[in-house]
Amino acid sequence: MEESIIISLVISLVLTIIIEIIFAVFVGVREKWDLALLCLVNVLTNPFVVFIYNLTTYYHIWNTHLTVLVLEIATILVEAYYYRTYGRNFRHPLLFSFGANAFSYMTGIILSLL
Amino acid sequence: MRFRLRSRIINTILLGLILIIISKGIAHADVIWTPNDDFYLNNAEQCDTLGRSFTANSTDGSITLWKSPISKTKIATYENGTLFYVSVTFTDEKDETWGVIEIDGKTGWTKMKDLLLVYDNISFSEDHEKEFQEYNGEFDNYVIIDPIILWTYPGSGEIRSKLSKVDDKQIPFESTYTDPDGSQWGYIPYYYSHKGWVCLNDPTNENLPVNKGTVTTTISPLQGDIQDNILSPDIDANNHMSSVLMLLAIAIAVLITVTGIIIRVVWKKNKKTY
Repeated sequence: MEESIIISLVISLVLTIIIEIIFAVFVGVREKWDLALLCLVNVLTNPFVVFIYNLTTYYHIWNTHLTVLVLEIATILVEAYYYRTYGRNFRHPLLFSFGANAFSYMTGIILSLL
Repeated sequence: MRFRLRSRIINTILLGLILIIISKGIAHADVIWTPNDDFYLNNAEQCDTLGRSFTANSTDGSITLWKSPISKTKIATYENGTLFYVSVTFTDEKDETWGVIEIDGKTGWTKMKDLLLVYDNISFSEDHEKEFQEYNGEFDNYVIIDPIILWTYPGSGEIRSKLSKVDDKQIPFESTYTDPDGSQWGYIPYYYSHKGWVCLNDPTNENLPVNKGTVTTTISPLQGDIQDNILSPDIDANNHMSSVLMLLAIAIAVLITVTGIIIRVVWKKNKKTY
């Protein structure tokens, strides 16, 4: 199980970064500093989110769906803050953060269905 | 340019929202990879944690691992006698109980009625609970020089770990038990990630006689309400798991801190010069 969690953390982070970079490029955020910031911001948020999600799922601590909702909202807000504070070309940081996370969430659903 | 960017973002978000609304099932926030088992993750709330070891014990001579309790896809078959660890169970509409097994890199489900429970500390506790006595400081004056041996249960022959004293506090024994040979044992529920039974008469002897218990009555194969056989959090795997999870939590906390510092230092500097 512990190996599964570690693998889950790594794969989630890598996939999330790749997908959010694709989203960023698509919406016109292409500057290297901003893309590098995007990567680091996801390092900041994604492992924590995945870890808590795995814990609540395995131990039935809280309702899984509610947990994900709370985690996602927190992630969007935290990432938006970093984009606004440290980004160069994030014209609408909150919108961008919401879009990027929605896009990766949607992709995650599609991947899980495959 | 600004209008094009905004409209792109809005269109993408709308597309995402539509897909979210029409999708069903579990949430995979931020591409959360869940390698354990899809069926379990989709039905986590109907599953029960078990965390015990079993051997294959089917009347056919072998057991089959299926992709899920409702799937006809075979993952693998294993001969009787193969040892498994069942982490979680699920009871279907026909009241059939299934257990999920991860073995040789494969994950699958099998019927619990085809498994035989391996006698463990939980079984020992069920058999001898009435013989347990409260710990009255019998070991408090013992000075640990060589590491003391923690066993799975008295007479198991299975060493769980070796314990050296780590602080000045007394080791927190929970209860004691006197075996048929007259040896007294003390149970440590948790002590710096260690747990198990110590032979108070001979705590450092690694060659204590084996007097393994056998599964009897209704547990061969597993019958009845599995919930009755589940003890509290006091299970081997959960204890080890707690240590690993603690380390992971610390590692993630360090990662977050370092990343946050890097962003603040490098990006703030960069933004000033931009």
